[in-house]
Amino acid sequence: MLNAINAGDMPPPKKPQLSAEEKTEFLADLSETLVIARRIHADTGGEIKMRRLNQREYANTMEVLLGVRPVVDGLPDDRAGSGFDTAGASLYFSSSQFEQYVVIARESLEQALGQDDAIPEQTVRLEAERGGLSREAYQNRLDTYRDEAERSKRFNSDPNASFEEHGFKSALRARLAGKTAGRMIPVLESYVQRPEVEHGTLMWAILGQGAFKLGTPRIEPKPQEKYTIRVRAAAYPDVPSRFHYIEFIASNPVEKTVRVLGWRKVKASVEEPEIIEFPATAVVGEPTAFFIRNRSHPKGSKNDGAIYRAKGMLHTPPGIWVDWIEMERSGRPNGPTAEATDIFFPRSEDQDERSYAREVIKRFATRAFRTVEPTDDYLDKLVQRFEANRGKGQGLHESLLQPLSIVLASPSFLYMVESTGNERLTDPELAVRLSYFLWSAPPDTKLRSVANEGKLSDPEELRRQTSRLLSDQRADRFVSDFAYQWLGMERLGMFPFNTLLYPEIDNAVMENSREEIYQMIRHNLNEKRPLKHLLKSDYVLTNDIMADYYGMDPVEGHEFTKVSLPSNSPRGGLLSTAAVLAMGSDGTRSSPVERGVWVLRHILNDPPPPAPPNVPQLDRIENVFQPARDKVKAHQEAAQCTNCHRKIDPIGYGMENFDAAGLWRVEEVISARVGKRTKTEAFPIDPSGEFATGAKFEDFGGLRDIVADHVDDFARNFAEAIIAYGLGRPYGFTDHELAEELIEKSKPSEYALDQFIHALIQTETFQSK
Amino acid sequence: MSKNSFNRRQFLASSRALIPLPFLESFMSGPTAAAAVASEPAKRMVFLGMGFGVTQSTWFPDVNSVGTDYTLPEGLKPLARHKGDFSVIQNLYHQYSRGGHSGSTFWLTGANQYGVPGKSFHNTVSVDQVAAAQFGLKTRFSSLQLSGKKLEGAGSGHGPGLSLAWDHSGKPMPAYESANATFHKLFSNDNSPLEEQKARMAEERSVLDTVLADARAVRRRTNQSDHEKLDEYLESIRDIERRITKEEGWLGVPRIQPDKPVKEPGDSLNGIEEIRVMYDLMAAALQVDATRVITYRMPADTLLQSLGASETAHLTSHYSERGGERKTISQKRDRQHSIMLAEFFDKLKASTEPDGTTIFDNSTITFGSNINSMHTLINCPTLVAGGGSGIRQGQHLVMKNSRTPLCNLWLTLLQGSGIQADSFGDSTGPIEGLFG
Repeated sequence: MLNAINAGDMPPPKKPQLSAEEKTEFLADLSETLVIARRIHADTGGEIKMRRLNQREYANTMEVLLGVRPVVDGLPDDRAGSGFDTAGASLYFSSSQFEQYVVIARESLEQALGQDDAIPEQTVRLEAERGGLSREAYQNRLDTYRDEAERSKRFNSDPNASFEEHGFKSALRARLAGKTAGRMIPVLESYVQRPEVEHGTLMWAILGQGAFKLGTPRIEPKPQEKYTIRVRAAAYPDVPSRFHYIEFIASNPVEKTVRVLGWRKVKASVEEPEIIEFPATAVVGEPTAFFIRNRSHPKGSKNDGAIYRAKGMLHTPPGIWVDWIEMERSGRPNGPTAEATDIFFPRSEDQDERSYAREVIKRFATRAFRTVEPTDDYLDKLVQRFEANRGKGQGLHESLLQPLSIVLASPSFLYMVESTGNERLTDPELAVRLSYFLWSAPPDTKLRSVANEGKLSDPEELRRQTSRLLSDQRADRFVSDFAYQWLGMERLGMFPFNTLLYPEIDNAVMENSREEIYQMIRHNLNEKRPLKHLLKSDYVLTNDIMADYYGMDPVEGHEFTKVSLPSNSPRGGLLSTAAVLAMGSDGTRSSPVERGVWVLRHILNDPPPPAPPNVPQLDRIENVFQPARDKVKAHQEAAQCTNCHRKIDPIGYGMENFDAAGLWRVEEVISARVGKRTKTEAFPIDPSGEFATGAKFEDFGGLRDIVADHVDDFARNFAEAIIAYGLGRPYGFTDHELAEELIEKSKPSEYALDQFIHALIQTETFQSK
Repeated sequence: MSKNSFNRRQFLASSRALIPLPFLESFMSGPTAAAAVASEPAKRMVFLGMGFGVTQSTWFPDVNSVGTDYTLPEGLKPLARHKGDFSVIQNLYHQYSRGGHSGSTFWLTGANQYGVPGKSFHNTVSVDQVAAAQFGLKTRFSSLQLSGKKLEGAGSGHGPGLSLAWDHSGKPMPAYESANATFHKLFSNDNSPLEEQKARMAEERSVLDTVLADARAVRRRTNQSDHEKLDEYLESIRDIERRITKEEGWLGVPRIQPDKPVKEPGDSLNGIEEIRVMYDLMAAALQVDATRVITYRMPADTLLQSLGASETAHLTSHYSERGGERKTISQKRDRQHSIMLAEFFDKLKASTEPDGTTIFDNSTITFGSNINSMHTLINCPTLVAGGGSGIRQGQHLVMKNSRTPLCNLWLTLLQGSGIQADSFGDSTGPIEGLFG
């Protein structure tokens, strides 16, 4: 019905029509009712179903069990659906998955048990001034340009000359060659005159040479190996700070794919260079070559070389000089990982092979099944597999690899099985639920022993263990994976940025702006700060990259630290983070609508109904020079749009002082192609607005204050999200009282995040089947 | 163009096509024998999903020019030589679809994502799998799923899923994402001794048997609602068992090679090149009767890249009808799809069957998406070709009801292809206009 009225299908044309105002009101009621209805429909009646380990839990669990992290790209990305990836009902299982689990398990077991040869420690150092990066190569290019310029000059001064006799391929080239050469010659001259390029080279993109890339030899990564990349480098002053960073990448020369590993800022002077050290990672089974380069832009966006060419420049600013690059492989012994050492425990002399095999499988399965012992029937069948393999001439250990792989594809491993019988979980079951909640991984030895002693269900002990797990590094995964889904961050990166307009937003900013959000939440959780600080604070969690991006005073190091803000700073709080602002854009222009929707959905806990699917794009205002704010006003012309957009749009207006990439602006610059030229126009920003409830604000500061005053709504939003995530089911009406309880218990601490988590874990719901 | 009558020249042409193989052996030794000598050629179905939709103003024919006399719009012009052999149908849609970035997830199912309480995602069987349940009995592969690389998600316009196909429990079915892997699956024979192959299958069965022992233990420990979850696991084990049973039936039967051998494709194909090779493989697979049901989820971004676009498929889908670079690219893509589709039709028309008809005559090829254009989910772009379901081709049909279930078309195609089905998804009945 909602869709029918929206589309104008209802009421039927011959019947009395609704006035626009009536329609707006009616639709508002109806669409809100529908949001509620969807919730009722989604209600599970408070039941917690058995569920499969999701993709990341599976990877973590395998790593804990075997000490090697499997590649799980081929398994379904459980975060792709709506809702949290802990929601059991939505975690499906298909036959291709089963086969993959068996294969992944086999590979992981082989890696963990160390079947490969031992690898010695090894260090390779390569000078930077090699091949095209050497001073000789630059000198050669200079000579070529000089020669071309000379020949072109001669050609141009002789009206009867033919281009061939001057060594050109066409008359046009003969005429114009001098022009480019004339511009390149001084650039190359100044290059070869630098004393530091005798040993070393500049990191830049220069005409005719493409982007800078300096690599180490190709390797075949082995399990348990560690890699360190070292670079001796120095920075030149007076270039944009983006060019002071080295980007480390791992490229796969076979598949021609690239993984960006991270960034380091170079600060030392050419007089006293520094050695930058970077811990690199590689994937076992993937041929890898490590490289360094300048900061890059995501696929689908123009890179710096193209950006500077579009500005009519021949090269990017030279920000870094590199002397050499070095790769160190840690090597590794031939033995198993620490986690896998006990899998093949020593066989006692009087034990026959069969009973040894059975014992190996039994111990391994008990660990894999999170301390539940496998049945005899199942063990018998696994031992039969062992015997069949042995009969085929496989070695003792080799024959066990298949049964152990099967264990890791069995339901007791892949599913979180909680026995029925008692409504209340047993202590070991509670330990599993707790550790998958806060670590996305199985319990550690400490938690297991507390549970085995039967102490975990004691509220005080449970509280202690919860605190311990939360303060452990392993909880970082919970923070980032929860936050990613809670705050809808899959949208970041969905639209590639137009880097001609926003050259600063690159891979480094994308990655670190995401991390900034996780760090804010992590800090808030660790330090038990009031929830309100996530909406407004006089500090930020930041690092060198983000501080440079925001134009703040420089911050040392790539680790995030807490930095106080000047009182007039718009930063501090989720609303003015680059990630949230960039998600509220299409990569070219800011979108007050997307930003408004995000705030309503994720902060104010008042999600607008999904946009009706068949609304035509506002085509007539495409390519029209109009500030975003005026453009959006078109939404308020039609009744079916007004009812939601009057709530959504004003919030977005208040954030208009941030451009599409999240940087501060005082005017909105719009450029678009009109015919063959690019036309640019600037409009002053009007950041004032009024909430549907009547609260007015003049600027972003005012908006943020109003939003921060709604911390109760934000608390409810968090409570509902943590219930859904922690219990593994969509939040439903039956959870209403539970949410109330969490909010009430957290209120005295001004809604410290850990209080919600403690409150949830202490409930009977969390501790029951 | 349709060649339903039988003549001697066609018979010779078709028998020549089979000469590379010992004639009798290829007919008598495999489970295809029955099908191949049957008097009526087998029916086939092919579904081609493109993700984000089309350029509204230049892909759809003018709604005022209907019937067989309609004018081909710009986006379909490359198909002109096949104009009498395909139809364009307007005003079909799925009432439950809401995802403006999901052109494929529900395209062949019509399901309601929120149709089951407590679940944030639900899907049902896709039309190709309904067909495969019957057509797949006689071929080595019940169905073949192909897909561009890493297309799951919103960016490509396809939405959640591993292919266009969803199995009978509504679970996503995996696809071959590499032309090379597809090639080997279809045409490379396992040359190891038969006994060894048999032993391998027995071993696979014993693995399944083993995990079932653990599944029984889990079943004993858990309650009724957990059993539903466990059933999903058991169902997937049964799927594998069914596959093994099928493979056992084909043990020792060599894979038939197409009469125009397909070259082994490289592994790094992209965009236009990749789609063309996939089309070649599909045509070859149908020719040798390796399968009768194929779905192909086509690449989006890489296709645009090979057309020289700088923007992604998503941004391109937000083109403006007033013009601009996005619209130009969007139109180029439409034309390119039509060019490749026309080439595919050529191939199917050149493949003759024992009775003298062509594969094209016996196939139903559907090209389209759940997304019309941008985020619009009504009037799904729909092009149906071939003579497999007996519909009258060469027409432009605009459904009177602008909200006609797309599932009505799926039902029509199923029934037309000889599959017993009273309804499909939210269908209200077959589309009579297609036979008129």
